[in-house]
Amino acid sequence: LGHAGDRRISGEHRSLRAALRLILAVAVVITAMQVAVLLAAIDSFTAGEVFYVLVGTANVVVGVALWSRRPANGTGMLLAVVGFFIFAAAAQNLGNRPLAAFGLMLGEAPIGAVAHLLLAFPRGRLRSRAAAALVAGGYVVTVGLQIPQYVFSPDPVVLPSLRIASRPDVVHAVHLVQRWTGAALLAAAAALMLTWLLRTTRPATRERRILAAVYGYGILVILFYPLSVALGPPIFGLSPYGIFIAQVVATLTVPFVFAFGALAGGFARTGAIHDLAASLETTDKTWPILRAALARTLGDESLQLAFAVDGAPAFVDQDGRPIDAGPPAAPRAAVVISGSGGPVGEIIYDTEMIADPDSVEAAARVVALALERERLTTELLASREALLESRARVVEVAEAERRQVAQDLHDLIQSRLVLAGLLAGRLVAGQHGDDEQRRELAVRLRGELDAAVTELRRQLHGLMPAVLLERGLTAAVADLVDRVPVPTDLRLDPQVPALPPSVASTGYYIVAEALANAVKHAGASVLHVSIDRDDGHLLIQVRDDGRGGATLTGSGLRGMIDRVETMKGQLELDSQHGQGTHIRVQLPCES
Amino acid sequence: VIADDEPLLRAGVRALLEDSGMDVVATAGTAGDLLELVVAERPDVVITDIRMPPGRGDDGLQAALVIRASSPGVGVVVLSQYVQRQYAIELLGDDPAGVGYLLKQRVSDVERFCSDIRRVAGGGTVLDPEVVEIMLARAHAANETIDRLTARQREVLGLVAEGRSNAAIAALLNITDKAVVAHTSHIYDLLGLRSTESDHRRVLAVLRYLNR
Repeated sequence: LGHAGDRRISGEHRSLRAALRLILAVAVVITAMQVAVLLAAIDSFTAGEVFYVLVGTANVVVGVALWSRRPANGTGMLLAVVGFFIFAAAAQNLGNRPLAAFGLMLGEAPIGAVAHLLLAFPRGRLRSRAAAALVAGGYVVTVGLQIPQYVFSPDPVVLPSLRIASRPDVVHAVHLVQRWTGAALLAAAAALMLTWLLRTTRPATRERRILAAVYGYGILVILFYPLSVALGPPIFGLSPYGIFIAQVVATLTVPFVFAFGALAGGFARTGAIHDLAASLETTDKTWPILRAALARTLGDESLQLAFAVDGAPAFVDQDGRPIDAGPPAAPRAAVVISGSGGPVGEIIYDTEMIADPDSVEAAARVVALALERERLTTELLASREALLESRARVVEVAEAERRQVAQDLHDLIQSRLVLAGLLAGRLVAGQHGDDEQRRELAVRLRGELDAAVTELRRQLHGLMPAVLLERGLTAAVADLVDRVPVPTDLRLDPQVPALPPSVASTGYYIVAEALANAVKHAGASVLHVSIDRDDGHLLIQVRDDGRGGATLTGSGLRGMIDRVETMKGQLELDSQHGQGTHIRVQLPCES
Repeated sequence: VIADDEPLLRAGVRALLEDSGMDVVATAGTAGDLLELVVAERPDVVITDIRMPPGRGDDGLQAALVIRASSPGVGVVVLSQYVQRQYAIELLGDDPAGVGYLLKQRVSDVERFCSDIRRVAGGGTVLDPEVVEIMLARAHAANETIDRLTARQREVLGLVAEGRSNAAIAALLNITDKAVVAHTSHIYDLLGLRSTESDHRRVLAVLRYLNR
């Protein structure tokens, strides 16, 4: 009964195992008693009768083992039931009258149970009304039509308390009815299974091949009972005892074939959804692995996972293909995976493979938890990624600015100062005696210095505008607006407080960048700039009536967002085509 | 009186002015010292930087505004690394007499700088070409009337805004005084300004027009 894969065994699971051990113990006791009785009555003992008891034991043992490994699958339980019916039927041979009578009552029941088992394979549940009717009919014929055998028995020894009259004619007639209705029911069951067999050949998954093999085998077993009776004696010269042995052998194979089919086919594996949860914790949260874990756990290799994806109207499968909306066509069914904010996906499974929608729903809840965790992880990773990218961009921009400043200092200032030094040197050396020439040199010297100072001023302004230092953000923005070549409406809240230098610098940069963009790209005819104080925030708005269509992916806007986010602020962009652009920035500022 | 937080620059400007025959009665390193010296010395003209101690903000400009308000006879020239329209408007106030606003680097053109100082001392107005340029560009963006001026007329308008007299404009542009008068009266007509005799009144009118 051990299951190596069990990492977590629930109380329910443990209790089931105890019950199964008990069943097994009962079966062993019954076997021991029956064999002991058979061996004691050594004169009437036959090997076939002991063998028949052992067939019952085999059914119970294999059935319980299967039951333990696939608790959600009814096949194991049905196998055990077949085993106990065989024990009951075998009691006929024990030579004890009450027991023999009991055995007579259930003498044909194993055939009904085997038919039940076949029709319920692989889920352990009857899949249709026709199958249920056949199984019910089977029990009526094998158990119900057995009643006249002891009620109207000519043999007074059998169950005298139940015996009404000696009517051998009735017994015989009912026996014929039992045989032929039984044969008809078995033929119907075989036909029904044949239709399933034909239907299960596509798609040709491993499960379906195994299912087909078991069905084929089941049809043969079912047909073997009537055929062995009808054809055994005339064709193979079998005695009734020979027929019995042939049927025993055929019945013996049943538990092993079914156990093999159920285990190899993986139908409805262990119900311990905890195993699924455990495996989800230890594997990568990717769709294929999730799907494979679900397929393995629930026992349906054809199981599909579909997920809601942002922007897609329907669920998509793991390859990103949209799944048809609405419930899937039978025999497939869907169970919705509900996340915190509504459906996040669904599990689409084969109802022929998975009997129990409850187990799929339990799995869906586990998947929902895993997905929620994965979503949070993904969000966290994405924001971390975005943060790293933004940080890298800020560094890159700063680096590029430094390079540009260094380049300009070198090209436009240093070279001019070197030239000025050279001119001054020539003046000092006094090689040019002529006053006019000296004056000309001095004028050139002054020109070079003037140009160098102008350039230096420009650089300084780029690094840190004087007015921002002297008067703060609003004055600096007013100066920016003064220099915009497009009519600009400026509205400054007089309540704007003295700002921390970093907030003032960021605000200035935002307005400068937004104005530059509006002038360069938007083709605007009028601009609006406003700066307001708003409940601990600085609210900066720049609006134009240009062509719009700006996106957050442009490097200028990207840079603005990076700056704003560095200050824990927010930037909103509204830039419909033809509707102008409106940039709204909120920066936190303690005042 | 010269006010700048940089001693080398104070000394340089002092030497420059003294070379051209002006008396420098005192120099100051802070806005507070400047205000005290103005009261004590009653100079003809004050030259001050904007960014100065104690606040290292626009202390020099604030001192200049105080002097403009409290000592009407004292000319004020504000020098700075960077000129901007808003400071100019504050400095000019309602009466542009005896005020100047120049880029610091203009000191290197000694002749012109000294003449600008003398103009302010004499009650005239001096605005840096760069700040006038900003005003013109801004006015140009905001209304179409400026468009209808010829390039030369716009040049004349700029020079008027800088505070220059007709004679100075004529000399700078190499044209006759009469031609300057013709340009200015055309400009006035177009902009809807009343022509006035006094230089500083017309500066006021032009600046008001540009900054409305």
